[in-house]
Amino acid sequence: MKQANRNGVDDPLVRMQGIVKRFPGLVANDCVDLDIRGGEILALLGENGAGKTTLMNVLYGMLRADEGTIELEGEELDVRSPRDALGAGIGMVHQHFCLVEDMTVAENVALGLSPGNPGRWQVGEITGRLEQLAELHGLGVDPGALVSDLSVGERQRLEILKALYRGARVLILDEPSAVLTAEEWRALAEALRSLAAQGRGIVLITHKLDEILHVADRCTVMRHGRVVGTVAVADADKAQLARLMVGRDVDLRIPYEPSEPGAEVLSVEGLSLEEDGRRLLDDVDLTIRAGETFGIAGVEGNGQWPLVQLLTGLRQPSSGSISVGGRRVERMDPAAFTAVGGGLIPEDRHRTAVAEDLSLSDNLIMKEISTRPLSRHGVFDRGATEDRARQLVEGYDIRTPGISVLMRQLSGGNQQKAVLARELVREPVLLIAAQPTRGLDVGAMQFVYEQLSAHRRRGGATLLISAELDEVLSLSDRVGVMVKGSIVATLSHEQTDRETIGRLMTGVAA
Amino acid sequence: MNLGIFDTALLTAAIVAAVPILFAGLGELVSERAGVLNVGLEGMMLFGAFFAFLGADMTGSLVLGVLIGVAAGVALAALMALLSVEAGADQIVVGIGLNVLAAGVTGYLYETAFGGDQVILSTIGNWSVPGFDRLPVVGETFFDASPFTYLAILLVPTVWFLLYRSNWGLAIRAAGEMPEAVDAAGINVRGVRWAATLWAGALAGLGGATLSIGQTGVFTEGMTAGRGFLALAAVIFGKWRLGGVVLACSLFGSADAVQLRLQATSSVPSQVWVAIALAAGVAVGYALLRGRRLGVGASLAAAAVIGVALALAIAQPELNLPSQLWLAFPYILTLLALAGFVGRARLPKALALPYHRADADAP
Amino acid sequence: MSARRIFYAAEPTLFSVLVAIVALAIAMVIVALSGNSPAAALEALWEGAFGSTSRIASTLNAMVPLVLVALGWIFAFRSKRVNVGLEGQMLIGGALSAAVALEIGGLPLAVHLPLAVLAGLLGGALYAGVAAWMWARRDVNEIVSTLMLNLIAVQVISWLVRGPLQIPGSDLSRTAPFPDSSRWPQLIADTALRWDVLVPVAALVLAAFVLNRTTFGFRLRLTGANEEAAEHAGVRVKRVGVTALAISGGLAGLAGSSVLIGGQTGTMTDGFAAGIGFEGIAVALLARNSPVGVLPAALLFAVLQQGGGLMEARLGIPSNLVLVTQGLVIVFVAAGTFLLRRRRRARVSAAGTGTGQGAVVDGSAVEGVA
Repeated sequence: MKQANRNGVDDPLVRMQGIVKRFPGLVANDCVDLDIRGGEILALLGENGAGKTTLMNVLYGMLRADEGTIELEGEELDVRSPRDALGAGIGMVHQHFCLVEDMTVAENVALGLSPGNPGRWQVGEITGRLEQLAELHGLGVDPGALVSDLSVGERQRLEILKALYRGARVLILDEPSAVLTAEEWRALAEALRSLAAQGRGIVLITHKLDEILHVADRCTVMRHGRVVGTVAVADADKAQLARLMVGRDVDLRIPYEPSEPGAEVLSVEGLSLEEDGRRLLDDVDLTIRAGETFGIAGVEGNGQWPLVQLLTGLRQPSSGSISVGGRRVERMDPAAFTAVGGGLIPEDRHRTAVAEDLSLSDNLIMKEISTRPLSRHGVFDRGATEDRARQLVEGYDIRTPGISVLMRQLSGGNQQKAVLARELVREPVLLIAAQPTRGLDVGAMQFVYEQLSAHRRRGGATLLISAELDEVLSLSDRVGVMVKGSIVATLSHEQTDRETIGRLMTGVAA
Repeated sequence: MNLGIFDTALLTAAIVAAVPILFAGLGELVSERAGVLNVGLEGMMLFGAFFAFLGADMTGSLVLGVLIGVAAGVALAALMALLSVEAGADQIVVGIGLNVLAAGVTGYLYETAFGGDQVILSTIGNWSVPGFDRLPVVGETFFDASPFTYLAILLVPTVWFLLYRSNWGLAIRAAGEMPEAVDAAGINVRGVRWAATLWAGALAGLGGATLSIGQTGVFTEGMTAGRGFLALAAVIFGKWRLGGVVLACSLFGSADAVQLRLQATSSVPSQVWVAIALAAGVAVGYALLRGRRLGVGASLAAAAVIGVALALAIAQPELNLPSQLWLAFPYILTLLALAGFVGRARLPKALALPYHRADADAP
Repeated sequence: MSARRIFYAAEPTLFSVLVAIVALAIAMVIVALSGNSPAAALEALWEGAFGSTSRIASTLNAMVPLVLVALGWIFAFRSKRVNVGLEGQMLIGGALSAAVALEIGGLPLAVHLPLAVLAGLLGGALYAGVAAWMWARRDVNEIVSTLMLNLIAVQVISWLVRGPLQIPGSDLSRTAPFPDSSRWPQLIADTALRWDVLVPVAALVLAAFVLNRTTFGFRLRLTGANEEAAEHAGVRVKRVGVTALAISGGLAGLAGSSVLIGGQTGTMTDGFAAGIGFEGIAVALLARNSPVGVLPAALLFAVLQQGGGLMEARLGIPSNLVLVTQGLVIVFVAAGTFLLRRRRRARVSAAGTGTGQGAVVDGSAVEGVA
């Protein structure tokens, strides 16, 4: 169904139709249509898991769609790799840059520019053209500087320049402002407008409503792998956008029981973490009491993981204090966190919680191994550990052929159950649960909720961090909304409603 | 001015000792910059030494012998590349295996082919550059030298151009730091590493050939005697930069030559102490010039070394350092460099880590 | 247990056996190509290793350092540390042992021997400690540092046998014979088998016990499996790593000591470690890094070593062939380890019980869907 090769003014530069992309256990893109027009900046808005980055990765050739077509200027396009995409004029700047630190700006641009030509690379030519581009669009970087000496904003500019140098006419940026200061964002916005004015199509993947209103011409909203609407920004209403973004199709009903919180368990004052001139955590104050669940709502990447790292002692704060049970902890480290009664269900269990090459039994008992009755004088009792492991398997409904199977042989849901078992059986005073139901099926999710409720009923305090708004709203006694490293608002259970939270999450003042 | 043992003969000896190490070092530099750690370098040199010797003996031509030696190094390197780059096997283990294999194969073939008779081949004589070879000091060393020496000297600017000025060099350097960037630029990472590994093998083979038919005219089992590891040390000590590697090879070659010379003397001459003090002073000065700040430990250590060396130079006691100390000196120096006492070492980030492009269909 | 399950469990062992057979087969091909009879060669190998009581004793004796070094590698490797400096640790440990044997006089066997053995253990442990310190405090990759230390150790021995420990008044590069009070007594008279053959057996049992039944061993394995999880479980990762390396070096030092005071020559000479530091690594790899498989793997290498001598004497086949075979084993094991790992992963995900989050590539989880 090829159209005539003639691009009218209203014909889009890129047209994606019926894109379907499936992964084991979920459909990331569910029959998505998207138009990218030349001369305009399109914002792609959605929460985590909405499928925006997946869609763009398909366009950029990093993933292959299972169904659907992509047309560039009316001609069907088959991109199998980023190189194909670049050749077709589509460039993408990811959140994690792909730069060689040890080489200069010019060298990074030169890499792979002339395939099949081993000879001298053209320093002068590249430097000259880079300076031209910088002049033209305000994307200045010193061509002779080493990447390791560049700031994050400059590195991002370099990534853009790399794409521009190869003649990109479509430029996709994935959450570009996440790593920038306000100043740098303003400069970038200018540059993007300049680039668009030259006829290029710019796509901004973002969740920040303010930015969209600031720089975008149109906005397409995605949710759970589908497009829920496309609006012209000039006509858009913030509330409308927020609603489009966070509305739910399926309601997971988790009954909420009000309760009386007890004594203070965790208190955090003025907690901050700085890195490379950026404040990952900005003056966070937080108090959680026994029997209380404090939920943190917010799009990922706004300081949640640094907060967890500081509370569990994986990193040290730049300033501020942490007190547990009313007593200030001078220096937190993972062992101390466990010792004061902390439990952690981390969001990336493969990296942090689970030893895949060890057995299920080993993983279950790893935090208790040095205590009686499991071990005595440094030798552990086989029988006792096995009994304990079996106890946990039964109590937490872990589906497994046996306790000696390797952890990696269990499904994600069962691995998570094992982590829960290990942490909860110690009846922690404070449980930090980060994205506890990610990647789990409905049954496993339900189980997790039940366990969290049981822990709460027992008087345990919980810090719940989740990108699933429903989860946070249903389970929490109080909800804090985290944006750019600080808690911008704290609401009680009765005060929360999806619209308000949605707006707060996207950086718009309530 | 009487420089004692520091005469032209020593300079020549130092260069001669340094050449094989320099070949292997230049090869390994490229390979490690691309991310491949060749613990099997020793084996590749040994292969080169033996097969060059065998080739020269069978064909009667020294040139052909050298080429065969180089090819042998490449062959062993190909095995390394196949297992480590292609199949992702552990580079260290494969390297150890190759060393053992090479020792076995060369020893076996040598005994089978020559049956224990010592065969001596005539080496290529020195080529002299007319006119220049009459220069004082440098003339004899640099302009009346074996063709291997000339080749080694020529190789330095070649590698410089390859690494720092050519497109290939960009790909090589990127492959060792961030292979993802190379992949994203559409270059085949494995191809780059294959090439780099084969290059290391070729040059190691050349270094081995230098030892057997270039310098001695004989082959003895295990004649490389750890030079492959010396080359590895040189790359590390040279902080993966061309200039550093050349300097390291020169330094190591000098240590070897000095050690040999000192075996004939009864006590360490004062010139050696002065030289040590000078070298330490130059190192400190260079670091300061480069704007690096010396920590307390490093400053004290440097001051101690200079002070003690000067004191010994003046006092001239009857002191004879064991030759083993000189032989161990390169490795001790490399350890110090690794521990950060001699400047910070930035090793290629992707060194010895196999690269696999994440499954194209993974989220 | 289904037949399939049993096969999968046995696969690693079958693989090791296959590697050994293939390597030997290639060696026999080489034998045939050089005009000898593979059958005769194999026969010579067998006879050289097992042909008489004396020969069996020598073979068993040759196993001692191999088992110890292999255990040393395993201890370090299980905690994710790669100790390629076992050769150097053997040398230093052995040297310290020799020093105690030679320099401390007038002691009865019951005191002198244990002292010498202890010295070997300490020497190796301390030498490994240098690399361990550099790793823990300076973040130096232990592969490179231990390689360098190997070469330094070679020079140290060279100096010792020509200097401080040399036979007084002699030009030979060897030490005086060790006094009987410092040597392991012979188990079977007039053979190479000495009582130190019990040391690797004890070490094996102890190693298996420590690794699998003690909290320390658990912490060690946990550190090797997932450092961050171990930290969360309260393990001091650096401490575990350093201890593992020290134990590793100690075992190698014991091996070096055994070669000297448990050996036939009774003196220390240059290069007495003779590559055992690397052969031991091959033994450990062939044993799939588990103490259980170390004995048969070490036996294979010992057989090759001892049999090779007879093969050369009787048939004129250079004993270097043994080195070739060993090199092939190492190379094949390296290649195979990767293949086995890949097959195991593919099997796990195909069975549908894989981690629900998507493909795990190279042991590092892929980031979640955005």
